Amino acid sequence: MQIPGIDILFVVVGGSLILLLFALAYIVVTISSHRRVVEAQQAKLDEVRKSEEKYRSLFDNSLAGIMKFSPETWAVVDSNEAIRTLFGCSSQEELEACLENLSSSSRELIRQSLARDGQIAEYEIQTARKNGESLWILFSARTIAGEPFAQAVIVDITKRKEYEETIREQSALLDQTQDAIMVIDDHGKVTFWSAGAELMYGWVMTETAGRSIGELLYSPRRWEDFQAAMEDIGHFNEWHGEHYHRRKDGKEILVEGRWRTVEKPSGGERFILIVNSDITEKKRLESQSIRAQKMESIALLTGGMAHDLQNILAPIAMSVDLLRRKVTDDSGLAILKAVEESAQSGLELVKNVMMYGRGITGERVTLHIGKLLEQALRIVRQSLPETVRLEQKLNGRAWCVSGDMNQLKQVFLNLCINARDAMPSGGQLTVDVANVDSDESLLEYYPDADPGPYVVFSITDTGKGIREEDLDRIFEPFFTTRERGEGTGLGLSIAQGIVQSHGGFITVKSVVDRGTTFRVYLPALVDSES
Amino acid sequence: MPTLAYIAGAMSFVPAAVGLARYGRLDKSMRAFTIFAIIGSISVTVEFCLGKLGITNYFLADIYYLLSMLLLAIVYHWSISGKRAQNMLKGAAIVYFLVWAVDEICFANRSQVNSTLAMISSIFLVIISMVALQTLLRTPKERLTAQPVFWISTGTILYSAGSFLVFGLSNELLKLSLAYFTIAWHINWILYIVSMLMFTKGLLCKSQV
Repeated sequence: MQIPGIDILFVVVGGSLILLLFALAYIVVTISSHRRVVEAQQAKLDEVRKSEEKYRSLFDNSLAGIMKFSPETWAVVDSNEAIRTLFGCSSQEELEACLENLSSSSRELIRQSLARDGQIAEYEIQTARKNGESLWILFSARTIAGEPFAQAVIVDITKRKEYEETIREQSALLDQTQDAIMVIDDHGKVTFWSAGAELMYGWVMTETAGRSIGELLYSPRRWEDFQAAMEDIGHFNEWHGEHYHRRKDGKEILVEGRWRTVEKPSGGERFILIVNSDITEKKRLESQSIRAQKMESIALLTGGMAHDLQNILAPIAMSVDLLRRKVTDDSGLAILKAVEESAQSGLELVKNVMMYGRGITGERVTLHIGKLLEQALRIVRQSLPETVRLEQKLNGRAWCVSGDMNQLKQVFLNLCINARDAMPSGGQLTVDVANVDSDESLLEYYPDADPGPYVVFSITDTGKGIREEDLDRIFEPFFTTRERGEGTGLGLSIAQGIVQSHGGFITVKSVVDRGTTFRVYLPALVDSES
Repeated sequence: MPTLAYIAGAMSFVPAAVGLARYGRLDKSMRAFTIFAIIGSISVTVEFCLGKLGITNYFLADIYYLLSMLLLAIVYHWSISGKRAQNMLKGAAIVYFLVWAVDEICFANRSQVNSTLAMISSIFLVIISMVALQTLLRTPKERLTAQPVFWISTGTILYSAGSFLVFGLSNELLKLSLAYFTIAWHINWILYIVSMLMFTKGLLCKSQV
């Protein structure tokens, strides 16, 4: 017999149990599934932990200081032992306090770089350790993705900075020397160029670095000198000598060089240390002094000889007059005339030589150079061929000089005759007078001259010019470029003697086939009105 | 009234009491759950009182269904971290509210147990609890049993699944026999006690603040 409703009860109870079982099964499956997930997670965590331990060990044992910090607040999140030791701190809090010693500009620059580029590399900062000692650090940092922090690596470069400072000081000392100190490698390329070298040659370090010193300092015609020096360096590891070097402005200077091969302390590489001294001026003064001594010797010798010759020629000249009374035939008189002329010519020459040998003296009066030259130009004008054009720029306001009128006229005439002779096919002769104040650069070349106002008259021709090798000798007595018999070679030496006896000096500039300019400087009497 | 019903009624106070006792150490989600437990115990008390006075108390169950669904959705929402799961919880809560509102407006019968709403509530509670449990499974921070949401969600699943048919067919059983009805409701009371114990365990998990 079936009880009514038992089916529904059975469904409710049975169904509920089944649903309950399903629910329980679901929970059990979930728990076991979770366990597997947790185990996998645990394994992953273990792996991460191991990896973290490995990197932690690297972090802790690194000799470079490492820290994780906030670029905004400079709060330190993590730091290794090395960075704390570097700053002399024992805790992270002390480290944070030390980082406050960084200048605000440095901190701001780091913050901006990290915000803009995400990193900052090898930024050198001067700061202080906890105990106040000065500290130089090399700061590099990079932002950490997804975090408001950055990781910084800090290296102590205090020692390096001290070495750099020492090197800088030593380098500054080197720069004090007037000598050019340079370093080149095996291939002759410049690796160091001192301030002295900049001063001597005109090139600065940035212009010379990496360039061949041969191409830099040696003109093509001096190239062999460089090669010879390099060969000596190759064989004997050193070279001493004198070379002509080219400056940046193209001028040539004479230098005394001391080159030596030096091996780097670290071994292997070698370089050549060059110390060059500019001896151009020294050589010029030496040569000037030698020339002066030479001229003095010549003057002494020729003076003595001239005196003797005068004693020989004077009786001959005097005897001609006596003989003329006795000789009546024409041929005899012609011979006597020739003898007289030769004797007079010889006496004139002797007079000039003696004037040069004894030194020139004369009566000193106040002269107006302009007027003096006007008088002399009348004579000059007559002696000039038609092919030579005369241009005169006589300054009516030229200062006066104290001098012997005849001697100064002779100087002017000598120079004008030389100019005329230098223009056989014609040209232009320019005579110019000016007032100048001698400057230092001029007096440097003429050390015997006194500083002050000078009257300068210059004679310029457009003739064949004087060769460079003859320029040094033109004031020597008996030196002439003319054909034998055409000149005595005393004109310029006497002119220089006269000018020097007036306290002045003569300068000459000449370009072959272009012409020559002689300038005669005479001390001016500024106070006296002409 | 069977003793088990009294025990079940008394058990509803346990999680509420524990939640209140540990309220300061609970996080936001478990504080919400404490409120849920308190509402549950109040509901039981009021239902008991009304029953003793002979007043129909079925309407209270309908209100409790809505509150329990919404509060549990909030508890789960605050407990889990997955955005997708949170959206699902929100969606389930909204849908349930609409269903509840339609049922209350159109089909409500105050003279008997609203078995349809009870079954729908059970289904929704099981769904949101499973969502919470699955999310918990995918983000295993620590042992599953150390997390309050595990106990709350499993307790809810067991109770809702086990009582599903009891709620659904209780009116039919009551029409046949009170004895049958009582037998079937024993299942509900047993599961209720179990779930209250599990909720209590959830509230006793280690300090969350």
